[in-house]
Amino acid sequence: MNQVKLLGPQMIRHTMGRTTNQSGGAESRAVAARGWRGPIAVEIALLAAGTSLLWIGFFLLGAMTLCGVEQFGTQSLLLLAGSGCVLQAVVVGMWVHFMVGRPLREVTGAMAMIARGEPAESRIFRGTGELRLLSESMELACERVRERERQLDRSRKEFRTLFEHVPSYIAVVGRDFRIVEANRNFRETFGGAEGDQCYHVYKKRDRKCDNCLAEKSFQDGSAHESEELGVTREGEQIPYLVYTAPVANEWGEVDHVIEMSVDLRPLKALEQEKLQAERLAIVGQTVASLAHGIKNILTGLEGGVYVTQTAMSKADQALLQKGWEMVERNIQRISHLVRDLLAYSRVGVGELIPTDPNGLAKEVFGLFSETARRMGIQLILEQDASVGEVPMDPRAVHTCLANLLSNAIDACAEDPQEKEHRVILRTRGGPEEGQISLEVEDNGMGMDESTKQKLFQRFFSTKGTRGTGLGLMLTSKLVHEHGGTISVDSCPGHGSRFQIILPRDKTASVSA
Amino acid sequence: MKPKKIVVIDDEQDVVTFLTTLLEESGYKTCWALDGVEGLEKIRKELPDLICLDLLMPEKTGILLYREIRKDPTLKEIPVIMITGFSSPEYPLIDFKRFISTKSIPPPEGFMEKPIDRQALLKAIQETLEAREKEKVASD
Repeated sequence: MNQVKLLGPQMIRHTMGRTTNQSGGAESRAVAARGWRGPIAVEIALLAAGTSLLWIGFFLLGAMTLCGVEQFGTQSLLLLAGSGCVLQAVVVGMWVHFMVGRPLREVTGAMAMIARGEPAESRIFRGTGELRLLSESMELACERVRERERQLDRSRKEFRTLFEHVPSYIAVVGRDFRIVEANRNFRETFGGAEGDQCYHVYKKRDRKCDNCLAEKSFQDGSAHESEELGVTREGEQIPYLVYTAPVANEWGEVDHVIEMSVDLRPLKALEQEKLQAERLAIVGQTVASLAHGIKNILTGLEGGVYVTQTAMSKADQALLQKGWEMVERNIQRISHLVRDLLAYSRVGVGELIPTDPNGLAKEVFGLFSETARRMGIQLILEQDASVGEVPMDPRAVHTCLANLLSNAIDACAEDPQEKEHRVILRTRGGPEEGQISLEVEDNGMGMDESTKQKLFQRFFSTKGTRGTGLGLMLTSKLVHEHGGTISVDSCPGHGSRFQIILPRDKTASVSA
Repeated sequence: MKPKKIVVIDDEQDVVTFLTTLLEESGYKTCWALDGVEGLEKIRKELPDLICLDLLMPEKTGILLYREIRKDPTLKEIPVIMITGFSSPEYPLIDFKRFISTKSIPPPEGFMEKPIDRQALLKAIQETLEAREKEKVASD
């Protein structure tokens, strides 16, 4: 559609030019028709004079022969007739030379010039007759060609301006993924030049991208789009949205692909601002809930102090123990609340760096193994060595796994059923290619549907006074900021399984 | 004189321990529950002189429990002091009073905010019990 709009004014100009030329052609034919009469009349007069001389000679010769008169002599009459013939031959020869030979040479010369691509002379032939008409037609054709050339040149300039100044990155790549042409914006942002491989210029890689869109376009002849992460010439990471479109040659074979990209940095900055605003809004909305939680803790703390004082005044050892436990418990609650709040109010996921999820899982596993052992819960680490490195914020994912593992241990500890409790921390490939899965599974108390639905809401806790209701909400937030998803399968009395799915490439978010 | 009986209902064990210790030290007899369902059972069984009730609890909230108490002919005369940590300049206690009461249900006899002011709570309990005594004498 855009192309049609772009070419619209040009097409109009083109149409206008043709109309002008057409009217000019009719005019030229009229001029040619007028110019026809003069020279032809002279030629006819000369030809008639020659013919007359010839016939007069023959007539007089015949008449004298019949009458037996030989006054002028036969030789004179033959000379007269012969002069008529010569005159006719000269006239015909001159006519052929001037009216056929020379114009043909001029026309041929002009054709040769046009064939060589040189501008033909403004008037190819100045004579008269059909050749004059032919000449003028050719002149019109030349003019038309010149007009088309001018239009083409104008289009080329317009296209070049558009190509160079459009606020996108455009590169044309060949089948060997070498850049054939790139616009100014592309060159200034990514560096490199024609002849470099696109993956090297875009991403500073040494080999082709795993999920190469240009290759897809070469293969299926269709357009593709994707969000990618590139590296500018200054080494800055730049998210961009790239579209690839196949370009076919005159035989219909796709021999080039156009890569058009849009800088997503302004959009990402806006998203970040929106996220920040949402985070602030959530913090604002939850101040009342927080106040409630803090008041409860303060009540417990004050209660603990009061009970301890009462017990001391009565020398009641059992009550003293109870009061002191209250104080300890509420100090711990304050500590947990502050820790979770600090974690929640952080900017969020930091820089994503290639991290081995197995190493991270092992670290978290080590952190909880002693606690689980003391509580009689078997902690199992199941690792898939083929998972490989994944771009993530290791600190954030560590927090997520620690939260899930802590919850799983609590779910086992609070399970009223007497059975051998176990918690499994598992790493493996995700359900789809390009994803990984981090799982925490327990056979603890499990959850009903209503609890599952409220699980990721702020300040929702199944742990009563011990929970802050921020842990799973924080986990969910961090996972989503990685472009991943978190889900839970649970059955009351049978346990729960939390699954985090992270994309290997953050730009390709995991669909929920 | 027979000590007055008070039921404390709060989902936080620490608050329950604190209040029962405080009340027992002040000469009241206490029993407690950690949720609304158990709390209603205790009230029906003990028929206390006063109820200290937390506003926000899982399962059955203090509001629902309060309305059930007021609808029950055998329990509706028992005075209730609501205790809550859920108040702020935006949500003052006065709003909770309006929210809890309806045309047929009067507001609770008292409201206490967490963290609990011990003297204020004991004073409120004492005044409420005395007022109820006077009402009883007047009606007799």
